[in-house]
Amino acid sequence: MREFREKIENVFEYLMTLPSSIFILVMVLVPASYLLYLSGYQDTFNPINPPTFVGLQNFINVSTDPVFWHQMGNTFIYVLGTVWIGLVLQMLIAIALNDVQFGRFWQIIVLIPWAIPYVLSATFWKWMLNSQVGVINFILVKIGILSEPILFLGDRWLAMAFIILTEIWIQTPLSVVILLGGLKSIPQNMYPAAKMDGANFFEQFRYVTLPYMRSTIMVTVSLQSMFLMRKMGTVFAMTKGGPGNQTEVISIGIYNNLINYGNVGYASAAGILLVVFTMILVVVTTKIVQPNFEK
Amino acid sequence: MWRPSKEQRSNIRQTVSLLILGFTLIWTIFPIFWAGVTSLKPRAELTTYPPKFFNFAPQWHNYIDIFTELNFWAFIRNGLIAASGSTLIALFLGLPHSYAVSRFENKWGNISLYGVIAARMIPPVTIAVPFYLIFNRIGLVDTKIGITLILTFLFEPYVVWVMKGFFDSIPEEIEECARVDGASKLQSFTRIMLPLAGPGLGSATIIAWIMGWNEFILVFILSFSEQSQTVPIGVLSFMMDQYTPWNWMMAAAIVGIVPTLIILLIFQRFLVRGLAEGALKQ
Repeated sequence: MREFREKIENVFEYLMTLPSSIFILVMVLVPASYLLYLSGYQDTFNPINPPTFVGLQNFINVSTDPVFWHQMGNTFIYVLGTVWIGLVLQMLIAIALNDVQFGRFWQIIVLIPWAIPYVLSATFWKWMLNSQVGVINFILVKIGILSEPILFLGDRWLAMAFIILTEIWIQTPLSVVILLGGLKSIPQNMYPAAKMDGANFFEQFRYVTLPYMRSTIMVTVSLQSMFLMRKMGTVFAMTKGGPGNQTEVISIGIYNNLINYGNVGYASAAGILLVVFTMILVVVTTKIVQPNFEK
Repeated sequence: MWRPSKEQRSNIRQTVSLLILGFTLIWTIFPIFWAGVTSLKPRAELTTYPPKFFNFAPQWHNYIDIFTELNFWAFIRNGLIAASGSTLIALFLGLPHSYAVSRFENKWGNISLYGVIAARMIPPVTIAVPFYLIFNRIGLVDTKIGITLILTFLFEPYVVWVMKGFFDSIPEEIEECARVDGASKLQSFTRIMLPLAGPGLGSATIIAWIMGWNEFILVFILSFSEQSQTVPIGVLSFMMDQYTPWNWMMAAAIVGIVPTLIILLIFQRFLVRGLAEGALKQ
């Protein structure tokens, strides 16, 4: 009887993992292997001829395409700009949140951009940046920074700058939550000790906070880099990649090749290269932030 | 040289912190405030410069027009169905899995964890390419079932990951006591562990639901009509080349952010814990 029960329970262990594992494996393995297959073929949409096997031709096409490198360049500007400029702001907010009273109220305020769909946030900013009747133009003219309203999203670099600004607005909550968790784990007796040694606020930050925060910053930065490399919604909602293809990021390129040009082979190869570039970026970031980090 | 006393110094710090947070408050709220103002403007006020802040007659009718003129309800309905359905399926599949990999030693559990990690590493935009073709072939493109399925795929691995963390943090002794008293493994999971993991369960549920409600790229690629498009895509579809009705668009966006803002207000504590857990165990 007892043995029988134990057997049943062993089966039960497997039964608990089974449905979910099958679901994940099917949803990962099937599309992933199909993706590899697609990246080796051309004319997948052709109704008359069967798709033709072209080997690595799609990867050669992608990596010799100046548009691809233009989009990759934009992606890196967008990711690095958002992550590193954002980090300064997010660090300040996290430190302030850690110090202040009524933390619950302030936490809700800081979390708001995370809770709302980011595509909608991007449309809020697009509307504020409107060239004729936008409120940002109005304010900048009023306080005398601009002499007349300008086309914020009509120039590559200006548009990129405001996309990055918007993206920082969107991504701040997640970073602040992670950084705040790191700040709370710093042993509090470190600060009185540093003060006794005569350290002012900035020295405390440099010699106590930063060293303790290193791994937290690494998590924040690599996580954000990974999320942003693949992100399409913000740029798409704000400029659709325009003017022309000036602000297109790689995800928009993949989308266009899949849906608008019907070039599935190109889209698959570019998608695979995106994974490769993301991994390289995350590894390099990890090495820079924490040179002797071990998994 | 002036050296501030200990008390003065802590006062300075508090003031600076409040200044930073005050700036954050304005920077966070202003875009939403401005969307709210715009959502109440009559069409004629959209093109006036300088833009008016308060001195116009608010047109509450815009909030009715988006339902009668633009059929915005269809997008809300799709969003509610897809986000809630996929959250339920993800919990149903993911909870036993996370519990099993947290508690039992077996090979299969460990292998399946690699699957979980792989699923989280693949960019949605990359995996959308094969999914688009597969869904096309089996007729799931632009259906609510297809969208629910793809959202489930998006955060089921997240649920497993986060809940494994929460189960790991519950001491094993509690369960051993129950087992000594004769509870079966199923009983100790449903009667003891699930209630104890309540807060974790709460945050996983809420975060999954918000992720579903907010998701853009996968839904955007795999749907093209009111049949299955969700709120973010619906609002974006109001933006047209010739004329964009910004007042309606902003009204729709405000309606679209209300559910998640209410959830944030009520469940803020769960959210912070769940977000940190999901990130740190990456």
